[in-house]
Amino acid sequence: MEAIQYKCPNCGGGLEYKADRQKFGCDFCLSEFTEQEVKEIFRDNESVDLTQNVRENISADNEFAGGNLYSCSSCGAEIMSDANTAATFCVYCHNPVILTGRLSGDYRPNKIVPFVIEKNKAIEIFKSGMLKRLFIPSGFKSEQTLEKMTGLYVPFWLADCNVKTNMQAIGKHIRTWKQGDYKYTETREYAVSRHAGITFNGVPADGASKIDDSLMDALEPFDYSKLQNFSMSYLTGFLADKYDVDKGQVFPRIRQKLDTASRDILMSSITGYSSVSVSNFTNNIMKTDWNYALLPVWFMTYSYNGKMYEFAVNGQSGKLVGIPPLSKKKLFAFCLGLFAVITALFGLGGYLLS
Amino acid sequence: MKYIKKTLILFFMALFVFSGVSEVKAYDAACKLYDAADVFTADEEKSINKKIGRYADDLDINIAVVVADDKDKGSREYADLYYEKLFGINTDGILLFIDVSKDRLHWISTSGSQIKVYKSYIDPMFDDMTSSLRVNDYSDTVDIFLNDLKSYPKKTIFKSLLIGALAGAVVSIITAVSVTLKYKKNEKYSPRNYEAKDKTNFTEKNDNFLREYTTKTRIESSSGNGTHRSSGGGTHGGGGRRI
Repeated sequence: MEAIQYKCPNCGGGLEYKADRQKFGCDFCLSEFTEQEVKEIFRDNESVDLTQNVRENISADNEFAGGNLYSCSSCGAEIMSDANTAATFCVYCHNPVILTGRLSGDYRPNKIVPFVIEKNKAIEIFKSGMLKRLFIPSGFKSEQTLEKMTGLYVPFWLADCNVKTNMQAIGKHIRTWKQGDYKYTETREYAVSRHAGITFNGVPADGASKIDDSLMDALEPFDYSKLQNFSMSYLTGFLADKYDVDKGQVFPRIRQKLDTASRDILMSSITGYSSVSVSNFTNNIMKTDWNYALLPVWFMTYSYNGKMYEFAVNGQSGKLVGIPPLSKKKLFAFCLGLFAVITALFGLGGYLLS
Repeated sequence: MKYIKKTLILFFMALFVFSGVSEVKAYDAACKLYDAADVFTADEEKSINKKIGRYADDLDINIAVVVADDKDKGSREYADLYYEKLFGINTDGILLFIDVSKDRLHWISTSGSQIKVYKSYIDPMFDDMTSSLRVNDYSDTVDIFLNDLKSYPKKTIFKSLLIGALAGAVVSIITAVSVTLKYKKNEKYSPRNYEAKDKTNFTEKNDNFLREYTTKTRIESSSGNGTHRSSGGGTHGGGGRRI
């Protein structure tokens, strides 16, 4: 399987995609190239045939703990990668390496959202996000706790679906009034039915088994108007994985999202009632078109008190997700203060009334 | 020099006299016992007047105790009008009317800010005075009444603190639980945002009337010491008990 590299035409150093400038840059001679220039210079890389499935011949000598070994074309060192890695770095010369076989045939992405948020910006987003959290331990925000930071193109399945959805419910109008010593309650019941055809575009589910699904669900949305046709050049300077969870396996997650969305849409069309109780709801998926896309995510792993905490920053929008540790001391102090203030306010009210 | 000395002496004497007057007459002179039925001895009356004055001063309100055996109107009206005659309408104070006529409907009339203060304590105050009133020990009755005037508002503060502590505990627990839950789960993005809104097509939207029914429940009447207006025009609170 071929491993290709994007090397600076001026000095031979590794070219990386610079998210903040949306250009390709060389950290050695500081040259910069536009996307168009890179596509022309690396015409050979861009024209690699990715339509065919590549069978990985893993022989005993290049198999390594479930991963594979490749030869770096820059320094000749051996590069270790796990079975899903599509883009990585040579640990010796730090040049970016793209493993084309992991991006070919069934694994060839249609689309890609390039990184917009660069590394330092992602750290800044994390720090300011943590500052807003009142109840995290003070020591957690320090740089020393940052164990690992990775810019990774995560494999995502994006489903365009047409659904037919149907809901039956009982809607109640309730009116109350007083007359004499009695309170009257008038209830008017209606049989409510809704039937609709709904189109959903780009419902995402990640295709990487090692990444926490809830973390990726929280990281949405990505702005699909910025989706580009896949080009390997965007991967240079970042890590990328191929999917190991296929369309069929992510379908239950997509269905769950569609059910939630359809129910929500139908419920919001039922208005003017005091209460609505749903008796029947069906949501049938009539047609699905798939896109296999690589979406940009910054992963940060923090170590605190012997426990690892994982965070992710949407590499396009900068949205931060993840669960930091909770400082029980701070929460207890806050609740105690709240308790004291409320008690004092009631006491003061009682004093003023007396 | 002699003139200055005289002036200074006069100034300090005036200061002493006026400060003395203001100390003694901090409360309204009308704050006292009105014993039309002659149930108290002169010594008792003197002692009670002194106590009423001190309590009126401490609490900064008008206080009077009226004892009568020939009321020409109902106890409530009698007490309300007596208060207004002594202190004017809607001033801040309280009056205890001890009815020693055959009717024996004793009454507490409150006015101004004191309507709210003693609203919940009229019944407990009568509970405290009942045993003394039953044996016609009016001196003890007045003592209990005056002591209750001081102790019950303190109980209001205690009660408010207790309610505040309960409310504070509930709010604190809810805050602690909701914060802890927020530190356990990532918030999900609503999948509804992937809807192509211009392509959504409702093929059925029916709301058909099924049935109508009406239920009625009796309203529990609240029994409290509400306010009322006297024929003199003032607003009063309070309540009474026949003992």
